[in-house]
This record gives sequence, C-alpha cells and structure tokens, in this order.
Amino acid sequence: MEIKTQKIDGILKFYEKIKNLSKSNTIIKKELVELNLKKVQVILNSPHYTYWVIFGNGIFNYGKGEIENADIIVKSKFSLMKKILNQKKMPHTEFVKKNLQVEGDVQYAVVYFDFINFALDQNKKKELE
Amino acid sequence: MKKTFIWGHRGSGFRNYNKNDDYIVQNSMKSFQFAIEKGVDGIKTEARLSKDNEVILCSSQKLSVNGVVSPINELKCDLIKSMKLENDEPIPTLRNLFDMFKGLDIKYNFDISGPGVGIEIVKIAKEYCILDKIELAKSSVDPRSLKEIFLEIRNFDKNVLLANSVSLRYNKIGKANLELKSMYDLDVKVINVNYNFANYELFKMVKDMGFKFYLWGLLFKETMKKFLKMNYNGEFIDGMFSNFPFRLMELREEIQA
Repeated sequence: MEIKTQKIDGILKFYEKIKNLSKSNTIIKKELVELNLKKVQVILNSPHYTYWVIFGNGIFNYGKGEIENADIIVKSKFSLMKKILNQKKMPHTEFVKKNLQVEGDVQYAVVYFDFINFALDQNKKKELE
Repeated sequence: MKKTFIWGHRGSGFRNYNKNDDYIVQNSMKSFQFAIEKGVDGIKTEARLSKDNEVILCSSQKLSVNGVVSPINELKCDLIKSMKLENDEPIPTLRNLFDMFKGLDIKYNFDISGPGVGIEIVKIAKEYCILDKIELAKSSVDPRSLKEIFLEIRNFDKNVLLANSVSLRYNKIGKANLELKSMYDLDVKVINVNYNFANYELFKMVKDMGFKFYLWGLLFKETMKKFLKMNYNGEFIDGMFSNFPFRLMELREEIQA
C-alpha cells in the first residue's frame, strides 16, 4: 500500500521541478510574473487523486488535496495527466476529445497547460546547452 | 512588407489596470476601450444571441440569475444587461461596442456560437456600414463542421469575411484537417490555429493555398518573437491573437520595423 501511494504522489515531482525552475530560470520567472494569479484544482481518477496548483504573479506552488476557491477545476484520468505532463499528449486535443474536463474559464486552463509546457521546454533547452 | 495584424483578446487581454489602478476585466467596455487607446489593430471577442435576438459579447455560454444557471439564449437582453461583470460594468452588447468606436478604423473578429448570431452580426454591421471591418470565426472547440456554422451566413451575405479556427482535436494539422472543400465553397479566407500546432511548414502550406494565416493563444515572449520573425515569400504571418497584445505590439515594432 505504501509503495502504491508513493507511486501516485510521484506526479507531484513534475510540479516540484516546475517550482524549482520558476525560481532558477530567469525566462520562466519573468513569464510567471506576467501571468494573473490563478488557482487550479486537479482531480484525477483511476486511481482517485487530488492536488492543486497556484500560478501567476511570480508564484508557482502546488500541494496534495484540495484548495478553496479554485478558478478552474481540471479532471482527467491519472494516466492521461501523466502523459500530458510528460508532453506525450496535448492537453488542448484531450480537452476537445472530452478526455480532459475543465470547469471554469477554459482560457485559464489553456494558459495553465501552456505555462507548464513552456517551463518544461525551457528546461529541455537548458539541458541541451 | 505588411506587418502582422494584432488582435486584443477580449479587448486588452490579461493584467491591465487603468489610470486609477482599477483592474480591467476582459470583455468589458473598459477593456475594449483600453485596447483601442493602446493601439491594437483589432478586437477579438465571443458573440452570443440572447432570447430576443440581441448580440451579447460574453465568453460564457451560461449565466447565473439568482442562483439559477441558464444558457444565454434563454435569457432576454434586458436581464443580461442588468447583470454585472466583476468590475460592476454591465455585460456589453454588440451595439455598445459599435457605438463606442463609431468612426474609428477598427476591425472586429467574433467567435460565433452558431449561424444565427453570425447573421445578426452581419445585419448590425451593415446598419453601421462596417461590414468590411468584421470577421466571423468558427471556434476551435466547436465540434461542428464549417458548413454547419457558415453555410447559412454565406447564403445571407456573400461578402463577410469568414475564418476557420482549426479544431483542437487534431494532434497535427495537415491538409486533411482544414475542411478545404468547404473553405473554397463557402469562400472562407482565414485559417487560424493555436500556436502550439503551428510551424513554418503549415504557414507555407496555408499561404500557398491562398489563405490568410492567423495564430491564436500567444503568451510568451520567446514564442511571439519566433512567429513574428517567420516570413514566407516576403510575407509575415497575417494575424495574431493574444492575451498580451501590447507586448506583441512592442515586439512587432522591434522585429517587423
């Protein structure tokens, strides 16, 4: 049981990476300052797992569980979210196919995923340098 | 060389404050006015029809009235206008927008929720004598075909400019995803894609087929620069939509001067 929980919690490692990048990478840092502060609640199923992300106004943070007054709620299968975070699936495409559900203003969900992809791309570039 | 046309999304996009330091809410008259004051080339917003056939400018398909959530097309215009945005402004109508910028050389691009609202926009634009300033776009999240959205509009008016925002359902955009037959039959002039799906090859292909090429969703400086620099046969990308239109304008001045 312990091993299973650790495996599920592993998804948060992506966010830890982005959190660190948002502090260390100047380009990402600057872009994060420009974005409006938004709270995202993520609800995954199979297995059920919830976490939240706050981004914008120069802040990037995340945590397990629920957050009050989320601006958008994103729902998907656990496996799909992992693929999105691994950049193997496009969130836009999955949203239109209804595999990813968004409650709230969809434009902020687009911004949220675009920011994550942007940060991961910047990181890849740095690694190649 | 003709510069890229810059559209302010829902007016002036994100993170704008007026002189009194009040936050400017998207899709409000203040947001539209701020965008024009700052010099954007055009305004992009979403248009919907009320129950009594007025064109409402609102991104949300539904509104909450006394705790009851109803689709906009089931609510009368007076009721919608009595509802307030976050900044206490009323929800604007198309007529509010056209009245405010009467006589100014501004273009408008509307995401339409169906043929009915498109036809109403055309009628009102004709009343204001600004049909040449109007573009009607199928939304990229609308699962319906171009024909379902545009056929009635094209039958109603032969001149209004129509834009195909390519569905987000395709992982990669190629000729097969552009509904080319309908584009030619309905005289759709623009292909608009999310920047995540755009590349030089697609730009080239679209231009070779004789269409205008637009990008939407641009946010980050680096990607803005990349696409502002892109040119084919001496032409830049025709248009870009952004929630940071002023940033895009500054970069355009640097890159496309």
